[in-house]
Amino acid sequence: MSDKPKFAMYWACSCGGCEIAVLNINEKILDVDGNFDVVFWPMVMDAKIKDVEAMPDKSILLTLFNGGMRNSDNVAMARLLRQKTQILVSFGSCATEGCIPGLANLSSMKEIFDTAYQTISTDNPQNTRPQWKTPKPEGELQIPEFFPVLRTLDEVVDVDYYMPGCPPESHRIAAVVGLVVDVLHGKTALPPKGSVTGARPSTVCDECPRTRNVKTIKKFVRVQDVSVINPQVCLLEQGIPCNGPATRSGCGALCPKAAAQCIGCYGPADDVADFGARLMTAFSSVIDSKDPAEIDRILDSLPDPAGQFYRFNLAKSLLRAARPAWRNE
Amino acid sequence: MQRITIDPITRLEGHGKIEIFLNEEGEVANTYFQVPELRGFERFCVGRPVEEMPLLTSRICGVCPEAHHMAAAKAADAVYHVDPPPTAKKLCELLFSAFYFTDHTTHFYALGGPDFIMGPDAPLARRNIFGVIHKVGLEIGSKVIQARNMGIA
Repeated sequence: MSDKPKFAMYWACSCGGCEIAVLNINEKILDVDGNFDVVFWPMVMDAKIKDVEAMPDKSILLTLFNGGMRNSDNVAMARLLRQKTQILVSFGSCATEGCIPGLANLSSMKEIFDTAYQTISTDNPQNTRPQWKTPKPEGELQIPEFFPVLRTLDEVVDVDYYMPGCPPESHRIAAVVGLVVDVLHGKTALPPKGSVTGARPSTVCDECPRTRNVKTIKKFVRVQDVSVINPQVCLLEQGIPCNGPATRSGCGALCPKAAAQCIGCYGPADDVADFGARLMTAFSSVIDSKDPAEIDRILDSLPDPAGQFYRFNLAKSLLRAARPAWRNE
Repeated sequence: MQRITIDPITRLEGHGKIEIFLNEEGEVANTYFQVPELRGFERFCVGRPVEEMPLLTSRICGVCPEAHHMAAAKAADAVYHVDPPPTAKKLCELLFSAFYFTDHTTHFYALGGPDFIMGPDAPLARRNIFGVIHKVGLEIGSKVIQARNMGIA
């Protein structure tokens, strides 16, 4: 092991897409290898948790931590890596705002486990359920305890920087890696603690080349019901529920450019307190009606408001979870 | 009884640990493989619109999101009883072929390959894609990276 600064990456409740996004920075990955000793990164190398436990405190310079806090292992790993790391980055949507797995906060633990272990598609005649502790003849086995509410990384440990996105765009990761390398070589300074990095402050609409004209929405439409999508006009003005008005820019409006609505994967823009509330405001402002009954009808054409407004960020919203999850029914 | 814990298992997508128990003769008495994670996709996909499924289920696995995306898109086709036109099918096959190509390079160079290229006894710090790049040299390493990029771009 050389005396290069140490780098780690870890996943909690996530999918591995953030790891692939880092691998996809292509030749820049050689910069990571050239400037750091990679000491822990389960998807890419074989170091174990006990190896991390043996490291001196603050001996890792940079940890990219992705994944939400779904169970006791996730929290233990967040605390361990915080203890061992100087710069801890909340990396990707799951760590930062819960992401798609945060939608589980609409349900109770019982509902989650019943659906996973007891539905018609599950072959489980004994109705076996996960046990946190299982006695076996050879010794006790343990799995992590599942929590009723998924939390974000910064609810559990102190976070130095945020890098949103599902996943963060690889060219953005490459730029941040370049920045950290420049800091190591004394060419620049780190941004203020708590900054959002690898993204821009404004909304996807600001990067979107589509034109916005007038308030024209009489009905929200589902994509499969649209025969032709106008290639120049704002998707929202065509009735397609696009999350661009509330979503942080940085991706270059990739989806709207491809005639697909923004799904909100970069989370709320800089001045947005609650993503869903901001998006509701934006949707309301394009509805072409002053009649309350008609407005209700138009809003009813959104098939899944909770999923539409909180698809990626429920765990970081003002409510964070629905009642069944909070009550742990 | 002696216990050997491998936590976490590495160079794949997902969480797992292995508990190996040895008897007094040092022989393996029993082994348990555990998957210590559950996210609840089974639950939170219920009640969501069918057109959401490709973008929700692609977050099951970030190494193979295209496979989940395709499966969900096919399910949506089945829900509507439609047979996509030839152009759409070809686009799907093109996307999936590009994924297939990239996924093999991911496995060969980053996940499984280091066991064969570096060998199972290589030092922990080198038994990975960085060790592979050092072993084969920067020139070949760069070609590998370019090959991966062909499937991504």
